[in-house]
Amino acid sequence: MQAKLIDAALALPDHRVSPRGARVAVAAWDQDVITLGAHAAMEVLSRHPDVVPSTIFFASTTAPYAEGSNVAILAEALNLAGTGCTGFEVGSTTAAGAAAIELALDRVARGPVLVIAADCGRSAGGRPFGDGAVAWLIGSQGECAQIDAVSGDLSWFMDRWRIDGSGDITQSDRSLRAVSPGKSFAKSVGADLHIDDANPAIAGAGYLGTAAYLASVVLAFEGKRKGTRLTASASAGGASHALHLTAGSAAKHVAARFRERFDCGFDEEPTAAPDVASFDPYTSESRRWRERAADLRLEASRDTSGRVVYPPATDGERVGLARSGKVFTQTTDHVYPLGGPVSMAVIELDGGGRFYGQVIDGLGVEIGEPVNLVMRRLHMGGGVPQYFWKIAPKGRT
Amino acid sequence: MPVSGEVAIVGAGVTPFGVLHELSYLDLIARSANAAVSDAGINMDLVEAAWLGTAEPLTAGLVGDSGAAVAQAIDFSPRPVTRVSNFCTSGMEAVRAGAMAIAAGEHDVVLAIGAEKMRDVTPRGSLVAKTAEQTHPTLAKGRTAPGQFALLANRYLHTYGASKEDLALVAVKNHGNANRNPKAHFHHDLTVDDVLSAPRVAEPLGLYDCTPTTDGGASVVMASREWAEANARRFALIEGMGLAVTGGYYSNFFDGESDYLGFESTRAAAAKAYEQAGITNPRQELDVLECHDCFTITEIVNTEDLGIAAPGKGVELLKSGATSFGGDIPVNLSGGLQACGHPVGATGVRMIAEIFNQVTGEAGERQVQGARRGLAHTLGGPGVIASVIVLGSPGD
Repeated sequence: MQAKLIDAALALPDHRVSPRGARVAVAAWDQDVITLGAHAAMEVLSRHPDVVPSTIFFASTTAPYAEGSNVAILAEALNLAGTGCTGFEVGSTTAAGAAAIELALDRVARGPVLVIAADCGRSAGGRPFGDGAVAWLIGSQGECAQIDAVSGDLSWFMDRWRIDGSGDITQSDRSLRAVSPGKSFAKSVGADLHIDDANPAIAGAGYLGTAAYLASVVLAFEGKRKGTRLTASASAGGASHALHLTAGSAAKHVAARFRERFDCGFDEEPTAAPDVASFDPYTSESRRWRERAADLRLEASRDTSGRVVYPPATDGERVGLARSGKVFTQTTDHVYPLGGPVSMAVIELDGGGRFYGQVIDGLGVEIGEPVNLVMRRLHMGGGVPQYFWKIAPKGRT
Repeated sequence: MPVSGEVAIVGAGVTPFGVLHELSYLDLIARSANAAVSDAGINMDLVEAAWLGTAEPLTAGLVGDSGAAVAQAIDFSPRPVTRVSNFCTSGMEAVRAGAMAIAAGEHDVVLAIGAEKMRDVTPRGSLVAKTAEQTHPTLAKGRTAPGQFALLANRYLHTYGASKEDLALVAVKNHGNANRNPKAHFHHDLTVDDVLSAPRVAEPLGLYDCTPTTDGGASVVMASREWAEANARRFALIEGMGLAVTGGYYSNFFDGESDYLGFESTRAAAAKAYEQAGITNPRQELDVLECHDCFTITEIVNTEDLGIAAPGKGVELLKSGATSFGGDIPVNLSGGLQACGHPVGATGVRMIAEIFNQVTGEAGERQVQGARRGLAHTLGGPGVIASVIVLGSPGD
């Protein structure tokens, strides 16, 4: 059975900083691997409504839950929960993105596989590495690329590491790189492209952790015609994986879309997180579970007159709120006690109904302005991240 | 029998409104209830039942969550007392409940009490904190009361081309009015410049566009028309009474129907009250109004929703002077929520007391000469609940 890359999507935060000259994408305070990963996955799935994944692999070293579940939140957001879709999480090495693709090849006989690789908040010495997420949709048919596993290897090697619970990444003596088993692995498989913890930083985004491999492979097809072959390896923490890929007809288009997104963004520091130390919002796990469809994918209902009702009524056909619309009215609120001033708006949604909530980063909006809804981490309630939707002005994500 | 024309207000008592550190929640109940009974010229023994309107007991939690507060505050045991709560219409709900009990023939004389103790904490520790921390964890997070009415203000300004200066005229008028009301929270004149240069609260609303956070209590004694005719020193009859509840707290914001130019709840409640009172032209047939000016924009849209001005013509009406003291349809001569403040449960009862005083000729310095019929209106939550009561002097 051959595995094909059907399509891929990239989610990068809007903000770019340049701590050492090169632009690095940094997440806003209310973004994390779940929100970025969900956006990359929603984009790729929206282009292929007929492809329903039967497996999700989620690769990250910076997922919010060390114990709990990250992939189940993504499945809910993507409306794949309860469909028999299974999920796996891989982590502890930034080579996990490549590992997830290797695993996907073993699962693809059962049906389409969605691989989401995301990292957020990695830094060394307070210097951000780069935040972002990539989603690959893999199946038995696809126009982007053909994928075959080449090999993998393990050899304990500490190039960079982070002990659970600590913030910054520790880097080993750089001279050790000369004996890196990843390098010799790459050489042994004849890799055209090798991703490790020192290489490469993607122009416009930085080093994207587990997402770096998935992003770099797509970018390697920039301007390449169908049939171009690529061997790409990844190593980190002594874990190595290599894939052999052959470009399909869509490869260069997907690559161009990635490049465009790496090149945009806003050269501004993200807004500071509001002081949440004393914020102790009402929370309920029962409520969070019961209303997960309304929270995570804005599930609404339609009454007998055709009116869209949110939060959904007890009865009535279930419909999803549209994620785009126009500002109906707005205000900038200076007295809301958490952060602020808070920009609030009522959105007239394209598919009917309205959304009322916060505009990201306190950005002002005008009546009539087109906007999108984006998933964000609203706050930590009861020590648990609470995901919901905010309003993004056009050009923001 | 119906309420209309059969239920009377026979006495009223209102505490000073303000930051009342020396008075507790129970003091506010006791002072206003005793004053109302004394104004009615009766003894408390004669009062058969009471309703207590409190929206949010805050530091008086548990105590103010039920009618037990009244039994503790005044000598009332073992008579029935029920606490009612319906957002900012809570006070008028106490009046409405009392009116229905009298109309049902169950009681002859009852008390409607409204009380709210908001300033045991700072304004930001009051309802603002509740909005942020104690409500639904995702829906409308970031909402505050001024932020919600600011949505209306911006849509109104956008649609009708009105300005912040126009909104400011409401604050200027009502603060001026409060100088004739010794019980108001504020007694100082404002200029349009004062309003515009005040700290911003929620654009386009500044500090003086907003009602302050205030303590207060208000009570009225209510009786059957029959009892009033035989015993009352003075009385006004409830000619019409409407309560409309048009949507849910959060669902309202997500509802594609709302035009953010006014409130369907007010229009529906007014229609009911006008029908009962036989009013077809409110501008001509009412002499005085107290309406829910929680924010400057709210008074403007209220006058439209109550049929005093045509849609989009609220600013024109305001600028004409018709709603000012001496105008043909004065609005919020008490100073309104703008300058009296808004102790939530007390507000509706204070308004009923105000209109009662006006139509019985006892409104003192702010008396509208010859006032025979007036209206009180409160608006609750995100504007989904409105209560309208029309009071008239008997014999019209």
